[in-house]
Amino acid sequence: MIRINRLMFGYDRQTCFKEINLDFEPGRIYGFLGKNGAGKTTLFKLMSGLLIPKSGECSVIGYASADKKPGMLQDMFFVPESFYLPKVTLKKYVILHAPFYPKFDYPMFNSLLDQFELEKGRHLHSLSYGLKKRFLLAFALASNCNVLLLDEPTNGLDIPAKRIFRKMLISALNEKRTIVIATHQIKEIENAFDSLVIIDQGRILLNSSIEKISRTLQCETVSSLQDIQSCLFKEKVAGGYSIITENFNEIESSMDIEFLFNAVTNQPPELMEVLHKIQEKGADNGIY
Amino acid sequence: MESTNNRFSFNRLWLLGHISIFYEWRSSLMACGVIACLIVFTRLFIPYFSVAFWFANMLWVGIYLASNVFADLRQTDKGSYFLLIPASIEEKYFIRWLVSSLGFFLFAVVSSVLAILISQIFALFVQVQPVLELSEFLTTGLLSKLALFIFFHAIFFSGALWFKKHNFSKTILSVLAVVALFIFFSTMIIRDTSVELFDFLSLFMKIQGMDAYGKIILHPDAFQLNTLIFIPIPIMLYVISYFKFRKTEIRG
Repeated sequence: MIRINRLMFGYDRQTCFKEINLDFEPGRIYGFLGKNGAGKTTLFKLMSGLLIPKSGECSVIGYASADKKPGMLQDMFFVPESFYLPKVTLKKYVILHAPFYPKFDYPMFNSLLDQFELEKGRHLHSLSYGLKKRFLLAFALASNCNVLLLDEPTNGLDIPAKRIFRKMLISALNEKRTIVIATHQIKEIENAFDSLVIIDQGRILLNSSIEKISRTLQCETVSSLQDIQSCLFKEKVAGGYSIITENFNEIESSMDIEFLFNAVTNQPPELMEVLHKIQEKGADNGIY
Repeated sequence: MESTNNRFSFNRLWLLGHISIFYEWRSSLMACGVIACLIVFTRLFIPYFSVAFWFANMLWVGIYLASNVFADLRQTDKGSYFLLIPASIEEKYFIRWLVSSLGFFLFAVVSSVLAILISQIFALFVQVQPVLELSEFLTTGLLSKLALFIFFHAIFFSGALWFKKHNFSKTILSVLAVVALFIFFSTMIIRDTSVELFDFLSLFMKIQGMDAYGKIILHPDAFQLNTLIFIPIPIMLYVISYFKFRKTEIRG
């Protein structure tokens, strides 16, 4: 669905990505995580053709993204964190833009607007940032694009809207669709993820399904570290330690994604070695 | 995916045209509408006032707008919005060219004609003196004005893509620099500076169909000369601009 192969990119003389490889498969919701400045938005821009790679391949549904072909753009929707909406009513926007998306689902869009409590007659420029975000997310989901790139989608949404969005997102997933969500608000949306990509300083540290991670690693909170063998990462918390250990019995364990993210971005050698093994196994089987 | 025409579709072009006029040109066209109203107003009170003056002003407004036609690409949000519309690069380039060049020229002509007609109707009630006829405006001279407009449009349209800020003034400075370099090198080659400089200026004015006072004269030979010189330069500039547009990125 999305293939990034030996991609190199940089701003002026600063290299952001040096020969990175990454695949996003259909039928999955990816949590795309990274610290500020890790390169998440840059990678989204590369995937949507807003930036052009220096070398390597970045293709979306078979099209080189830099070519920005209509075939790609009508089946890929990118919701940036900061966006522009023209000064028209919601209705006019839909009249002018929906025909560009051949699979646009008007009844679904109307239903999403109802759920988000948006009236079609309102002017887009009169809406607050949060309401504009609701509108754009509704439009993105109703476009029925097979690739959805969402950069901080829950930013600006209030609590009920976040809940509606989570529900919509999960129901919008099908076997043909790839949804990639970059976010710092992991707790708000982590239940929707079924795969994780963690990026740091232009390097892919982890790309795996949550199922595979939770069969290999386990997170728990302990009062002391005395009886713990092979602790891969630990963090002091109130009343003890949060730890990550290897999951030897290979039964899925509950995973604290925020804690895992902190662990991975700290890059302790023992943990990185285990993660490397997960990804090698996944790559051998053709899946992550 | 296979059925999608990835280069050119009239349907997409039609939709893009709508978006372009609705969002990008609405206020500009309204400004030109105001100029058209001013034509009506001035013609009511000064019957022999030159419509060509207002028309030329409208064209200069058009040139200025052309120099800012890609300004949105310098803004992250607006640029992303435009480039992510599911249309090909060729369609996006073409629609911006079409609306800012032929589209604008046509709008200026139509609004001027309407202004003349309205002022003539008003004149029937307000005064008995005859006003200038429409036929004096709709002459073959419009074609040479179109050629001149396209020539300057090509320069400022490519300047819109080339420069990130102050496109209009930077394009003027660049043109002046190119002309100065041309004069300098041509005089260096011929070595008879004063005579050749004078010849160049007279040739330049001749090409534009101007007399010594800068007034446009519609001499048939001048028109042919315009056609010969004014066609390759815009084409070259438009082609260069297209390749520049293809490489547009949204950074920041």
